[in-house]
Amino acid sequence: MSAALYILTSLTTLLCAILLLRGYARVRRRLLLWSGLCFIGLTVTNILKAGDLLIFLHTDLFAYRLGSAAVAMALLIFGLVWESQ
Amino acid sequence: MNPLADQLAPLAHPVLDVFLLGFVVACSFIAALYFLRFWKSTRDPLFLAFSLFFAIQGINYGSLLAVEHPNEGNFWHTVIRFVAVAGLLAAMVWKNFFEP
Amino acid sequence: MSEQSLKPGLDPYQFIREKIDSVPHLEALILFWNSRPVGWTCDELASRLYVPSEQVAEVIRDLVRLQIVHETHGSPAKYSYLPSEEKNTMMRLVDEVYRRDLVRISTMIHSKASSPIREFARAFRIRKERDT
Repeated sequence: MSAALYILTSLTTLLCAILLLRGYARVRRRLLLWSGLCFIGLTVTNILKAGDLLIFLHTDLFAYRLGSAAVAMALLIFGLVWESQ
Repeated sequence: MNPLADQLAPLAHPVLDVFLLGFVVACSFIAALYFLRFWKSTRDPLFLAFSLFFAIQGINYGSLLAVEHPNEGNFWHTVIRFVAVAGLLAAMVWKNFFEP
Repeated sequence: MSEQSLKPGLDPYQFIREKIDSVPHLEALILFWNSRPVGWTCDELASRLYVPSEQVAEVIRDLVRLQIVHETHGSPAKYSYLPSEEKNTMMRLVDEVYRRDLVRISTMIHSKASSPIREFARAFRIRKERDT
């Protein structure tokens, strides 16, 4: 079931987000902030995908999923470019 | 194959969707390159896993251009995506239980 | 001191590289070691090391997490070196290289500490804090 895979992906990206944001709280490195936020966005994207497959059958969430994925990736790229040496 | 495939609508905003798709693909590959560089300098397999994750994400989103109903997944899409996620989880397990 | 019977894991440079995040961390550690079992308050440590109090609080927190230092009861809280046989052996080595090879160690710490990339990887270590 591909919905199960998206739920697994959501949990993985959520875990990454939690670890990165917790790390940011500890050491205050901004790279961790931006990548943590990216993974939050990816988690939202994956949850929307699962929702698209399972729940919202009368609407098309594709644009919203792409939107959240785009925002997430933009945050990550900003963080990578700006904060990594 | 998703039995609900026919009920998912076709693209609602074609131009915007294709634009966002291209944006996500490009960012995914750039992120993959960054993580590849990090892996080369630290030799930490976690970064390799992230690089793979984002490269696969880029390929997967890009492949949606060739598909008629991009709003649902197909078999290979799902399998390859699973490999990416499993790789990430494996790297995290390795880091916590097996890293010297 | 039985240096000859060193286990292969007892490399002070590796210890510093992996566990010590900054020069104030190292200096606090050396101070705790050399003054053991004397306890220091946060403020006493800050004035001795010429480092602001918040930074010292973070240093102490990290050293407590590594179980090298512990809090001794009292008010205000005092911190002192937490001895154990294995740790004592490592600390003797660390102290020795600190006296002998400070330039190399500082360089090592500085190059390590300025890497956000390393911090990214460290964020994914949930379990590693316990071993010495």
